[in-house]
Amino acid sequence: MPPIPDVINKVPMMYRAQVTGRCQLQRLVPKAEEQHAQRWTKEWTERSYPHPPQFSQNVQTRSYSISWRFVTNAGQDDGIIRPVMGARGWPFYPGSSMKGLFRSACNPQQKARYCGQELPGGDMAPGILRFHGGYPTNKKWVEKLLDLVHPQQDYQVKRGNANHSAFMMISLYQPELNFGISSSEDLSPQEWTEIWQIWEKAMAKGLGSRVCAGYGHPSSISGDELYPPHRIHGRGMASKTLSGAEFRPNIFRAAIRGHALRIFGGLVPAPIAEREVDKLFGGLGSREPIVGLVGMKFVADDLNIDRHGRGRFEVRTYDVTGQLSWLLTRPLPDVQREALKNLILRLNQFAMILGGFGKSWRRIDHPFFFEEYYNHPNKSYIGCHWEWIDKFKRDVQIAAPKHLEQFMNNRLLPSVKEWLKLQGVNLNSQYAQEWRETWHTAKVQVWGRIAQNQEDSIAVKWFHQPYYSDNKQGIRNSIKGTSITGRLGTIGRIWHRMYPQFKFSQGDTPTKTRGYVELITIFPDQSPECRQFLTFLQQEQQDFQRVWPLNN
Amino acid sequence: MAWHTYGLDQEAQKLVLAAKRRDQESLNQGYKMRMAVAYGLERFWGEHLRLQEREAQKSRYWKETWDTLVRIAGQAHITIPNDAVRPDNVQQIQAMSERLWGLNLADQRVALAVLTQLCDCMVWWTQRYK
Repeated sequence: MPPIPDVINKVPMMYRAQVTGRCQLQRLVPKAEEQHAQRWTKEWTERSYPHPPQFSQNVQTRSYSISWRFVTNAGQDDGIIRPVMGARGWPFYPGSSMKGLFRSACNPQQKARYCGQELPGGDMAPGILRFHGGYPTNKKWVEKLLDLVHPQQDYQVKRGNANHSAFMMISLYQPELNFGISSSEDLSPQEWTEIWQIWEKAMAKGLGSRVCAGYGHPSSISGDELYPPHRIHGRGMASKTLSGAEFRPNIFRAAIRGHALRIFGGLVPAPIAEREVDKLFGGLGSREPIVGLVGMKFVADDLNIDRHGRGRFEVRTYDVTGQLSWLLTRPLPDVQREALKNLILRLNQFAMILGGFGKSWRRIDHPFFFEEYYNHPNKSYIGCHWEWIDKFKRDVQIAAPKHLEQFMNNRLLPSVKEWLKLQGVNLNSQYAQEWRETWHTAKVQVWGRIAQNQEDSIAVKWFHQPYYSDNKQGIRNSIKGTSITGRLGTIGRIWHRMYPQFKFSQGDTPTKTRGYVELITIFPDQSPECRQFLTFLQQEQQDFQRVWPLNN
Repeated sequence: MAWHTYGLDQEAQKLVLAAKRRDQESLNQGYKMRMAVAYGLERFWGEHLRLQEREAQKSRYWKETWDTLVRIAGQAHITIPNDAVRPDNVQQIQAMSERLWGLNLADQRVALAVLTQLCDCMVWWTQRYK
């Protein structure tokens, strides 16, 4: 055979050395025409068979849809997380993983009968079931495989200069998976029903990896929910992916985890805050990954992806309604469970009251609250907006700025302290002083007012023009483009929110008004602009009142 | 031609023992090596470079295995390239990749067959010593 010309550039990515200059799957090269991972997945999916592998006739099967993404790490390519490849080049949920998960949902009798048991003398008796794993039911799995993971917590909470580069992962987008189980004995239909019930109970915890971050949850099955789901509605900018745009439910976990870190960091030293947050939500740990106590699941019941802006200002947007649930990943004693329930509930409320989720969560939704901003072309989308739906009584918590102190001091902080105490953490007034956003009376201030309606935001203008100007004296005081509001590439130190105002009358379901509680949260730095702005808030305006902390 | 044993089993044992002495944690690389064989010589060779900066002991294990393959193949008069290459030198990496894919097909096949057997033996010894 004659030598192939230019052979090294024709070798498929999988067969190349996984080093610079040959193939770097996990690396995202900005502005590259084609990412290595894109070529790698193309080489893979093009050659996979058009039809799904079928289980043989004696195998019982059932299919389930996954609410968002799904991944089982093959563990074969260090440096990138990618699915296991099964028959015909199809991604595959391995039978061994399936058995492990199934076993964890069995009682001792079921475990022995279905999964096998150890006999006296050390021998093993096999179980009667064979787990054949799961395959996607159709070829849609080849779409949207590339998953950009962008950890930002250190950058957002702790240090403005922390590393926050994105890396790539390969996961399946909303696949429907067909699972197979067979038995060495003939079983009655009733027993098969029972077997599938065990499997559903097992699956409710989430399948595969990263279940704490919302991956691998079946749409139709609920796990061990800490409390009934929050139903919420939100709009904002969708996450960019290599194949376009996507609404990524892990924004909820990221936000709640980040807030937990800020708040814990205001009560205990940094390493303890980090450890306790890792225990709750999972994390990379210092030596090996920690599986979190709490898992997250989001099922969108209405999702619209759209566009906003023109030309290079065009972005993809989402408008989504769905149910956000928090799941317990392992059993807990009642006292702990109750404390955890309170903690997570309060953290969700905190996130909704003071911030938002996803991109640009520190700013109010400009297309919604500040339409005139877009009278000029060439303006980017700024902000996002989130509202509660349904369970107002449980969720709303504040209807006026003055309620914020009650929420903070009587609900949020006690639930956090209770949880930390139950974890054996000693609260001795030390805190994570070095972080940029620590929820401590010395580090943060919240100011609030009532806005009459959607157009009545006062603070939004402070981000775009001087908050004070006197033309005669030539004074223009502004926070625009400073370290407080942030710039491109620099995160600001101020959060701004228009929290829908509800009317509470006794006994009734709270009703939504046309008003908003306008809140600004500031983590002051030492800059002159910041000092000047705080003086302005304290002495030169009447609209906003300081609402937290009050006695400082 | 008389029967000639290349002593793959003994070579494998030496590699596994050396790895175990250096760092028990790197023993699992044997399984990874066995799997990597399926992706050909370049991928296998490249692994020691990938690991060099962050996991020196594992890197060394891959490199020693590669050196052993080169030596054994040499006894059979098959020359497998083994240039000194730095992980940050793209030219060197690409030159070496080119040389590996430029081997004639028969030699590539022999090299992969030997590597398969060597790795099988390493997996066997790994199970014994773990």
